[in-house]
Order: sequence, then structure tokens, then C-alpha cells
Amino acid sequence: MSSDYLTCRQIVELVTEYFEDALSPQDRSRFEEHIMSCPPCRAYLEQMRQTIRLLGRIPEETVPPEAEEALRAAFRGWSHD
Amino acid sequence: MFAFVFLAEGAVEPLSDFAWPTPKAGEPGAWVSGDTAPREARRGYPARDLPYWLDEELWNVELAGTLTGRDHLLLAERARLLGRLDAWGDAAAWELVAACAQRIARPAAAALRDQGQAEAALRLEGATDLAELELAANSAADRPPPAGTLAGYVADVCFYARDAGAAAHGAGVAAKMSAYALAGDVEDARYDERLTAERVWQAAWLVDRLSLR
Repeated sequence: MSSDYLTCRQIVELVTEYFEDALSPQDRSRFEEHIMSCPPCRAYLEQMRQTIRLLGRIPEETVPPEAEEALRAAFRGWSHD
Repeated sequence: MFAFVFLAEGAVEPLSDFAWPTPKAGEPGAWVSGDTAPREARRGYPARDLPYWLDEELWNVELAGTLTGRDHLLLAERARLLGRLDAWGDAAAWELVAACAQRIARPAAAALRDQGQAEAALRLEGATDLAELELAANSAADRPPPAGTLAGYVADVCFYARDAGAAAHGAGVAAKMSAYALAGDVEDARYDERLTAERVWQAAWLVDRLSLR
């Protein structure tokens, strides 16, 4: 894939920085473009937003390890990302 | 300046979750600025960048004050919605999915012919809807590359677009997948050029289909 391509795995890794507005403008655009054409990642972002709304902050352990592995497995099934 | 913006259902900016004030009684929506809307919500897209942001509602937006350009979007100091473009909806979104799938089906059929698989090529070319196209593509996906690879992409575009939920989200999936499929080998020197060219073609399709100005 192109050097500017973000994978679903990278989206999961970058989501905290996205919400903290810590991504460079270019990375933020790449992140958002991925979200808009990837329904699983879009759903994940929405879940994160709701979590932040409920807790008032981004939790340190964003996703439990077993949930993270299940999420990654689901993303692997989304084979073209 | 005038631009476009794709929003989720209910005029909600999907990345910031900001609900835009909508036009009423023929008047534009209220201006939003830093006091009333997150910076990232005050955005607009030139027509050439629309394929990157497909969503359920398409609106005309007016951007004012200092504009900041970022990859494929503009952020504005102030912005307001001018009106919704009703030409974009489920029907147009599914047409875009089909158009994207057909863009890959053509070279797939040509490659099948090169391999002496004229019947499989005809099935791809003769498909009258996405379900038929997906069946034809799936049955050709086990052929040697490049025909099998391209046919596999056609089947994937149909499947994942259908699996995406909203038609507009399916169109977003199809647009991205077809662009990457047609860009070819990432090691090829013309990969980025082909990727961009496909997005340009998609933007032109949207401009034409939706009569955008």
C-alpha cells in the first residue's frame, strides 16, 4: 500500500492521540479519511467517543486485552484494510 | 467561499459529532464559529475531494474568515450550511458502488479474455446488477492473476459495500477499495499516480451524477 496508508491496526493505536488532538495535521487527515471509508473503524471511534463522554476522559486502558484481540481479529477479517 | 460537506443523518458532522444548525424557511443555517462549533467541524470539501468523505447527507456550505487547507479538506474560522443536495441519497450511492465495481470488472474481463476465459469475461460484462456481478466475479476469482485478482476485487467491492450498513458508507468502501485495486502493485512507480487518477475519476462521476457546480 501507499506510504501514506493507515491500517485498521494503526487506527486503533492512534485513537487516543486523535482525541487528544496530538496528531499532525497530515496524520489527522489520513486518520479521518480512513475512518470515513471503514465502517468497523467508524463504529470503534464512536464507541470511544461514547466512553469518553461517560467517563469524562480517555481511560488509560482503553480496551481490555481480550477485547483488543477480538477487535484486531475482526479487523483482520476486514481483509482489504 | 463555497464548498461541500458530507454529514451523517440529521446534519451531524460524523468525526466531531457536531450537529449543524440547518437552514430554515429558505434561509441559510446560523453561522458557527469557535464559540459554537469545534474547529474540526467547521469544514468543507472542494468537489475534487468528495470521494474521500462520502456520508449520508451532502450539503452546500459557506466558509468564511481564515481558511486552513489540509489534505483533501478546508477548515474555516466560520461556516454555515446553505442547503442540502437531495441528488445524493441511497440511489446515487448504490450507483457509485456499481460504477466502482464496474471500473475493476472491465480490466478483469479483458484479463480473462487474455487467458482464454471468454465465457467468464462475458458473465462479468453481462451482469445487470450487483448481485449478478458479485456471483460472476466470485466464480472467476480462482483464475490465475491478474484476472483472478481483479475478479476477486470486484467480488470484494460488492460484498463489503453491501456489508457496510448505510448505502453511503458502502459507497465510501467501494470508492476506496476500487481506487486501491486499480492502483495496482504498490512497488510500481506509477502507483500513486494511478491511485490519484481513480479518485479524480470518482470526483468527476459525483460532479456529473449530482450536477454539482
